[in-house]
Amino acid sequence: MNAARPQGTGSGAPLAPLPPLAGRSKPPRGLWVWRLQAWLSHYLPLALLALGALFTAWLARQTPPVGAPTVERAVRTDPDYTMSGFEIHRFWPDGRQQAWLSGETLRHFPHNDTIEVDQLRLRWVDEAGRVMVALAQRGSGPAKGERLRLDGAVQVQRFAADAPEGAAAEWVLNTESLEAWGPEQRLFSRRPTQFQTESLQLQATGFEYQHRTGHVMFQGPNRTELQPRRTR
Amino acid sequence: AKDDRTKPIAIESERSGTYNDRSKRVEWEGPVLLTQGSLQLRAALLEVEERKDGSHHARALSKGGEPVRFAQALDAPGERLEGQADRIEYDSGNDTVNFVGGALVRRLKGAQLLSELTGATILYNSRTETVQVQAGQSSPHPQGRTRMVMMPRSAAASEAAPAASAVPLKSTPALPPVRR
Repeated sequence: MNAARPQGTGSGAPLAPLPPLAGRSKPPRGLWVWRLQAWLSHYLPLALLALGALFTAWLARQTPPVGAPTVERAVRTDPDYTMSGFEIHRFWPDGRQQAWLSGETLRHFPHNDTIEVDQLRLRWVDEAGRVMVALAQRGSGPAKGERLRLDGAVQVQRFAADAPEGAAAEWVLNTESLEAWGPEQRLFSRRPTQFQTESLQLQATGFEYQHRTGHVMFQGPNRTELQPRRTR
Repeated sequence: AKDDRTKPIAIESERSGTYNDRSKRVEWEGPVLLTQGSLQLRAALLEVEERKDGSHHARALSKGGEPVRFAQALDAPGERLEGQADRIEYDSGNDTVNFVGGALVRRLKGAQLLSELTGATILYNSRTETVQVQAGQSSPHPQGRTRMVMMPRSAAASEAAPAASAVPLKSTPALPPVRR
């Protein structure tokens, strides 16, 4: 098989092969390393510069622009504090006690600033000294306390202003759940309600109590029983 | 009936009722039905106030022309009293029923009318079963007069009554001469 010969330059005599460089022999594998070194020496600085530019671009993109709204971190929905066997007192501007809130456990939820109370007992005294006591299995509402929802065997008792300790309530109301609005001094419920005074028993399908006027309004249909208390 | 006053008063209302814990008064919007034993009172509006001695004063009002209606059994078997007026006031303390304005009271035995009374106001005492009537402008009769109608005991009623004496009379053919 004829080996491929280099072409002469017109005189027709074949060219003699070139002598090797500086006495190093260049086997094929050395040529590849040389080429890599040459490529690195040419392009490594450029590659490093490109890498630095990419990193700077990424860093700029990660940094939030100045003054832009910061991303809201997901607020926890479990209680941030609980109290057991607690009692909270609130006072009228003139220093007289207005309300006692006590219960088995109180839990505060930061995500909506509300509280939950187990086995709630609330005692409240109005400006004229009339006393209201509310009991419920559970109470819930805003932490500031202007509204409270009572659930589970709810009972509300109203005592006369000068009632001695241990005196009977003027009326007692029982229902399954109700809403108490503090500033409006109002209680209301759309659930079946049983209302009782010393001589009157009333069943209704709901009620609304306005403490300022002393009116307890019952929804119909309702049934009332008055006990005859005469001895003659 | 006399023993009605020992029974509890029951009040049923289709619509709302309001209790005022300052005045101890309860008001209902009707239709309202008050019952106490055999006593029945139907009205459009009813107010009941509790007194210190525990007795109650009920005030039944009419609305839209429909009068307040009253009914109660009397002690005599089968007899009852029915009445109506613009306003009826019932006092469980002294057992009086006051019919005010276009007052009408009837005494009935079954379906048979025994007597009827009309006037401006009629005061009925269920303890003594006595009735007083007063004239006045709100009487349904001209010049505000009162009117009382007493039904005669009907013939049928009198035959049914047994003979006055129960001794059987014997007939004798001839009477013995009378000695002077």
